[in-house]
Formats: sequence, structure tokens, C-alpha cells
Amino acid sequence: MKKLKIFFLKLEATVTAPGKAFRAKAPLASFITGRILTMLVLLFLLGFALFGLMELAPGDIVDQMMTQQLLTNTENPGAKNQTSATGGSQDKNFSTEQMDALRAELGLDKPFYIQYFKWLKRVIVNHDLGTSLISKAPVGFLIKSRLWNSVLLNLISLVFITTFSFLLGVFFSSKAGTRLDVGATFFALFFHAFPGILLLILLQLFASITNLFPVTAYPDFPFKDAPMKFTFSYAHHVFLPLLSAFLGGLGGTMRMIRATMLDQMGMPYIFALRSRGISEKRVYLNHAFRNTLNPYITGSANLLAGLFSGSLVLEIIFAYPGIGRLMYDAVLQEDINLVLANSMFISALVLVGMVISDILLAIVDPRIRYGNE
Amino acid sequence: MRTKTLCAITGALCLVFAACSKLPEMTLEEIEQYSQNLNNQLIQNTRTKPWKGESFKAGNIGGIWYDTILSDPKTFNQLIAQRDGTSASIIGMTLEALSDYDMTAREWKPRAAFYRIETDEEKNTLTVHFTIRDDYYWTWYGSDKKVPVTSDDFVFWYNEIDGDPTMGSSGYGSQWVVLEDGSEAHIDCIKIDDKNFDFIYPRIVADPLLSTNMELCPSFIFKPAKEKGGADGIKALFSVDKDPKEIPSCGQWYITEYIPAQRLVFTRNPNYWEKDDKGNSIPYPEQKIYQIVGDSNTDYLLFKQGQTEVYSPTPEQVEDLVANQKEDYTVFNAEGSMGSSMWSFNQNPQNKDKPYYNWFTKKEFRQAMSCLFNRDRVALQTYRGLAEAKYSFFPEPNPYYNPDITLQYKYNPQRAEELLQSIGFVKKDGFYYDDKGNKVEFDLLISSGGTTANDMAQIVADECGKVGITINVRQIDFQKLVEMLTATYDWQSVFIGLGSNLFPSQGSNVWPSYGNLHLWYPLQEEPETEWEARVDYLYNEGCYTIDHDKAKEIWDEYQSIILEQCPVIYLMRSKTFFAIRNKWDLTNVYYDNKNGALLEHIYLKEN
Repeated sequence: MKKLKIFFLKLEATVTAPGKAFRAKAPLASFITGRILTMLVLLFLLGFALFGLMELAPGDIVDQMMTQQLLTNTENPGAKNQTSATGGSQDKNFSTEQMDALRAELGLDKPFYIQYFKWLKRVIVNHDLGTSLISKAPVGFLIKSRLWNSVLLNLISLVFITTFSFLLGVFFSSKAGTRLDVGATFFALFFHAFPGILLLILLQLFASITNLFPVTAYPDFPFKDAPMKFTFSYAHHVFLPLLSAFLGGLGGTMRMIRATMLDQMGMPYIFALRSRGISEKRVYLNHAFRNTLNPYITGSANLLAGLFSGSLVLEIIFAYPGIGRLMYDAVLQEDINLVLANSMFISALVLVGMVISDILLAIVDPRIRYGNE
Repeated sequence: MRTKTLCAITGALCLVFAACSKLPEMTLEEIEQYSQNLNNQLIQNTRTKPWKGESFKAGNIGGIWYDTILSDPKTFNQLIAQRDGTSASIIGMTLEALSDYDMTAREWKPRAAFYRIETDEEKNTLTVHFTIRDDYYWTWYGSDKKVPVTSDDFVFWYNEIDGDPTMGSSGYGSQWVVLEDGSEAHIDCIKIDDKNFDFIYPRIVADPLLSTNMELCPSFIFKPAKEKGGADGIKALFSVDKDPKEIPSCGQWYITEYIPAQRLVFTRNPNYWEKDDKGNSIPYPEQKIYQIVGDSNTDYLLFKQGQTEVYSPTPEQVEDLVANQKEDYTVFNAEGSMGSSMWSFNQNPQNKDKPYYNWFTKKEFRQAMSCLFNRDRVALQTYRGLAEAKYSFFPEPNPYYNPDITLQYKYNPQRAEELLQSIGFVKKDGFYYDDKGNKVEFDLLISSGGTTANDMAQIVADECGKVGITINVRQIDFQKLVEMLTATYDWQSVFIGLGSNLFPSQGSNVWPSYGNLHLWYPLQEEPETEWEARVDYLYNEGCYTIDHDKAKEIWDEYQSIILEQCPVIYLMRSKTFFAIRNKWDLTNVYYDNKNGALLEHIYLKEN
């Protein structure tokens, strides 16, 4: 028994030795590798869970065809999309046999885990995200055509929220306890607590009533037609939705920075700095402010994730051509290829954001020593 | 400080007293009268302009038509578009149908081809001869290339796409007719020459043009694709990642640009066959630009901001739309819609052990439910008076619509109670119980998100509650609802719309007992009840009877049985409205409940 125990301990030491050596030699690289591996495992589990959830949802994409028939039958004159004037045609309905055949053709008759492994094989081995089950269009094309819009919108939000949060957070921490600070805290809390969807609808109504802004968030002509005009038009269109994301996101981040600043300002090292006669400006900006970066960097990945999920509602209400709307339609239609590719893409993006924030944290804060613990 | 507090208290008190002021109360009759006056005013402020067969005035080419669609096209491939209504209607703008049914004149009119029907009474066969128009071409945007439309464009699609089971086309089932001995025989499509082709029916049918009407396809693209790649080769054509300018058109429009989730642009086809008195092809606008918006409220706001040309309001939006029309746009009105939602009760024997099965399978119970549906109240409260009850089975444009055959079980709570008591239901402590002592209580499913359906369901629940029947209204996701109706059959009663039967033979999967959408008990191997057996018989007889008088007898009985048995209770026909910008000349614009909005001949006003 003892021999066996010793054998296993030796085996463990042999297996883990290269890892330990790598960690000792290059702690940051080892940390990054670990994070990436964790990210890959998380993505795998996430995909598995997504397939399982889609399996649990009522019906599948083939049932959608029946739904589509019902919806087509319930359309009334003057309704949208009734553009064709073919006044009469015989009922053209999919039979139960046709539906079963289609289900088999799409592989939907197999258990969900087999469907998932097949999908993984196609993505990893063939580097192919597949085609949308409903439209047969390449998933890569569908995502690519919208991804840039989503990234652009969320990055602008992130930049604005970050910049203003730092500026206002630092400023109000220097005015702590004053009427101005109390007022700012009140409004920050108010917008932080205000339901985002309601704010979006109210802003859209404001645009409709005043005619000062468009009710959609994207210009109705393409960039290539008039790049300069498009840029200004984009800024005009996206102003209100961005304002909504900004107001919702600003409160939390600003309060966090203000609180961290106040916390830092009460630390003994600030007292020591002040006693040495160092100017308040340097105390604030060169010493206390630097220490507020840690919680922000940790929280920024979550902020990005929040912005991505929050932008779904924005995209639907303000007709913004982002990835959220594509995802929403795909989920409703149970287009599993599209749902999975979409979710994995967004999840990967958020996880990459988290890894980057961890790495940044390790870089900016020398106290954090990964790999040696 | 004290002054400020005093001011705040005074202000608050003022608000409280203002809120407590009492408005003069109105009686129900006064409310009804007031509402009626408002509706009359509303109708007066809108235009009534149904199409009665008037010819269209020649217009001027020019202008851009801005509109919206609520979802992206999934494909530009005709075969795949059978699974998606939006895509099908978009592709339909580049195509043309063989013929079209004129709902006003109640007759078929040629479109892509002229037709001639020939019957052989002795052999009991029927042939439809089609001859394609002269000078009819497939053309491409920005190109002089022209390919003549030939018989292959129809025959190939019919035989090789719709008729090939591996393609999975929804048109496959409609290529067969039931013979007198109960067996099925195929309707053949034969090419005679480049301009002529025939459909040969193995039996004389009443509406041959209905089952053969189809849109043409560019066979010179689809045929090689099938030869090369089979069904997959066909399905790979014209996906949304391809340049839409590659799609040929023989219809009114070319698809010239598609940016996912943003916009879809159509450009006028100057080679379209239908021309006005000046010799110009219709349509007149140079372009149609559809913005893709995901939300119907945004769609409405876009119209209000003047960014789109037309809008079809929901009942809740009508008042606001009419009140704000000024000089900017005109609102048209139409009589009650052709179709209507219906209330149905689950009679599937799978639920035999449930008390509701015994209630729902009794016609008196269903008739009583019809008598408890307060149509006037629904019209007033849900549709603000802008709707009427649907009492007939067929809509007016149906060739066998008979105004004398209507539902006999109109709103009458007293009669409802008599009907219930006649089948053994008893009332105790204000609630009804069946003969086994079960309290009469059941669910009414409605699709989530439908405010109109929800309002109607609440009124039904309230009216039934007054006589002692408890109805629990449950909102449910539409997909789940469809699954319950078509797969699990574990529902109780439901509000759902299944369109209208413009032709008596339409609804082949709904009305015969073997249909997969025969709501109350689908896919029956043998008709469960005598009346369903009779309906099956009449349906089949009617489909194959061409003598109008004989057919009328059949369809009259068919309608009467369904209206008497109440397997479904039709709900309301709402008035519909349609707004259009005044920058367009409205001479050629008509709007009615049969044709919807006729906009094909619209043109810009001359300045």
C-alpha cells in the first residue's frame, strides 16, 4: 500500500514537474496558458450546455416550418411582406413524412450530445462553422456581417463609460460629502437602478416626438455610398442608444472608482505622502488613482459582457444591425448551428476580455504574483 | 426652510384635491353612444376606396419607395423560401405567377401565361393548356442579357423540384388527386413546345387552376445545378451571401442590394410584361428600399417620422394615426377582414380520461360556448367598435359564399344555459357541474404577446364566469402552442387563426378529418363522428364537382354542418386601416378587405 502511495506521488511529481518548472521560469506565461486552457474548457462546457438547453426547448427547426405555415395562413390583407399578388394557390403543406425526412437530413433525430460532437468536429477539424439550418447561408457570413457593428457599438460604450467614470469618480471623491457629491451619487444610483429597456423605449419616444433624433440606431444608407455623411449620420443615429448604455453603465463604475479613491485616500501611505508635503494633485493622480485601476480592470470584462448582453435589447428596439438580433432570431427559430456559433463567439470574446484583464492586472500590480502561490 | 416646507405641502395638497375631483359618470348606453360617435368620426376622417375593377391611369416613372420589413430574408432560393414567409414574398417580387384570381370579379386572370381548360367527360379527365406570353424574358440588373421564358421554367420546377421527393418541397402533396375508388393519381405536366405546356388531370376537378398555379423558375440555372449536385446543388443556389444582382428577374423588380440586418433594395425591372397606356412597364418607382427593423413599434415610429411610405396600424394605433394625418398622409379603411381567429376545443380521444373531453365532444356544449361569446362587447372593448362578428363560414370572395348560411348560436347566455342543462349540466352555488359532479373549468390558450387575443379571452372568461363556467386564460409561447396542437395534443381550448378559405377546397389539412391541422382531432384514420365523415365526403365531392349548381348544394351543406357543429367558433372580423404618404398620387391606390392595398400602379405626384 505504502509502495503504491509512493509510486503515485512519484508519478504525480513526474507529470507535474514540467509545469512547475515552466511556472517557476515564466510565471506570467504560465498564468496566461492556464487561463487560456480554462477558457477552452469553459467554452466546451458552455457549448454542451447550450445544445442541452436547445434540446429542452419545445420543438425544433422543423417544427418551425409548421409554425411558419400557421403564420402564413394568419396573415391579413395589408400586412407587411404581402408583396406578391398571386391571388390563389392550392394548399402547399409539408407532410409529416417530409418533416421526419428533413429532421433526419439535418441530423436532428440524433441525441444532442452526438449533434454537439459532430459540430465540434466540423469546427475544429474542418474549420467550418457550417451553414444556417434554415437559410443554408454560411454561418461565418451571417456573423461577420454583423459582428463589427456590435463590437463598434460596445467599444464606444466602453470607452465613454471608462473615461467619464474615471473623470467623475476621481472628481467627486475629492468633493465627498458635499451637496454636489450627494446629487451626483443620487443620479448615478438612479440611472444605475433604472430599467435599461424602459430607458431605451423612453428615449425612442423622445426621438419620435421631438424629431431631434432618428428612431433607429443605424443610417439607412451604406457606408460605401457616402463615407463622411455616413460617419456623421452614424453618430446622430447612435447617440440616444449610446446615451442609454452610458447612463446605465456610468453609475456603477463611477461609484466604484469614487469609493476606491476614498478608500485609498484614507490609507496610511497617503497620510505619509501628505506629511512629506507632496501636492494634492500628485497624491490624487500619481498615487491614489493608480490603485483604483485594479478593481476597474477586474470589472471591465464583466462590463463588456454586460454591454454585449444588454445591447440585444438595444438592437431590437432601435433596429441596430448587430449580432444580438441575429442571435435572438436564431434562438427563436432554433437554428442550432447559428445559435451555437453566435454564443461561442460572444462567449469567447468575453472570456478573452477576462483573460486580458487578468493579464493586465498582473502587469500593473506587481504585488500580484501568479504561479508562485 | 419653513416657507419651502409650506410650499411643498400646499403643492402636494393641490395635487391630491385635483386627483379627487370627480368626472361626470356615464351610463353604459352613453359610453356605447359616445364610442359609436367617435368611430363614425374616425371613419369619416379616413377614405373608403375599394377596388371595383377600375382600370389604372398611366403614371410617371420615378421616385424611391421607402418601406420596412420586420425580419431578414433567410434566402433568395425559391425552394428553401418555402420554409420562410418573408423570403418567399421577397423572391416573389422578382417572379411571376401563371395566373391570378381576381377576388372582385371572382375569376382567374392570366399573368405569365394564358390558359384554356379542356374536359373529357367520357374519360373523366381534364387538361389545362398554358401558352406563355410573347416577348417575355428573364433579365438581369445592369445587363442587356435576355433569356426567353419557356415552358421548361414551369415544367422543370413542377416535375423535377416539386415532384421530386428528395427535394422536400411543400408542393409535392398538391400534385396528386384522389380518384373515385379512393386511390391517388398524379397530375402530369407535359411540355408541348417552348411556349406551350399542359397539366393533365386524371380526374375532372373543380378548381384546376388552383392546384396548378405556380411561380416560374429560371430552369437554365436550376437544371444544371440539379444535374451537377442533385438536391444539395439546388439548395446551394442563391443563398443570402451571394450577390443578389446575379438573380434574374421576370417580375416587377430586381433585387439589387442586401445588407444583412440593414436594408434590402429592389430596382424596377423596365422589361416587365405589364405596361400602361403610355407603353411603360409598371411599377413606376425606380427603387424600393426596405429597412430591416426587428420591432413593429419602431416600424410605426419610422412612419410617424415620415421615413416610410405606408403603414398598416394595429387597432390600438388607429385613433392616433387618424388624428395626426393632417396633410402628410391619408388613411384608408376597409371592411372586416376575410379571415378571423377561432376558438376551438380539444376533442382528441388521447384525453378521454379528462372531464373536459366529455364536455368538448358534445355539440351542445360547443354551441353553448358560442352563445356565451359576447361579440358586441368584444367589438366595443377590444376593437373600439371597429370590428364585426364573423357568422359565415366562407368569406365573400369565395364563389360559394352564401349569405343565408350563418351561425345560429349568437350571443345569448340564456340559450347557452338551456343548452348546457339539456346535456345534463347542473348549476350549484352559481357554478356548473357535469353529470359526474366535475366542476366545469378549463383552460383557454392564447399566444403570448397578442394583446387583442388576450383582451378577447378575458371577455370570454368574464362572460362564462357570469353563468358559472370558469375559464383560465393562459398565455403561451406560439412555438409551444403549435407543438401542443400538432404533436402532444395536451391542450384544452385555444384561440388561433388559420386564414380564410377563398376557395372551398382550400384548408385541405384543416377541415377533412385526416388533415394534420384538423385542430380538434388531427390525423384521424377513420372519421371519429358521423358529421366529420359527412364533411370529408362533401369536401371530396365538392373538389371534383364542376357543375356550379351541384357544387353549390354540396358546399352549402358543408358550411351548414360546420356552423351547426361548432368544432371551431369564429371570433371577429376587424376593420383594417392603411396609411400612405400624400407625396404619392393616390389615383391608382385602392384598399379593401379582398385585395388589401393595391399599390402596383402607384406613382409620384407631379409637382
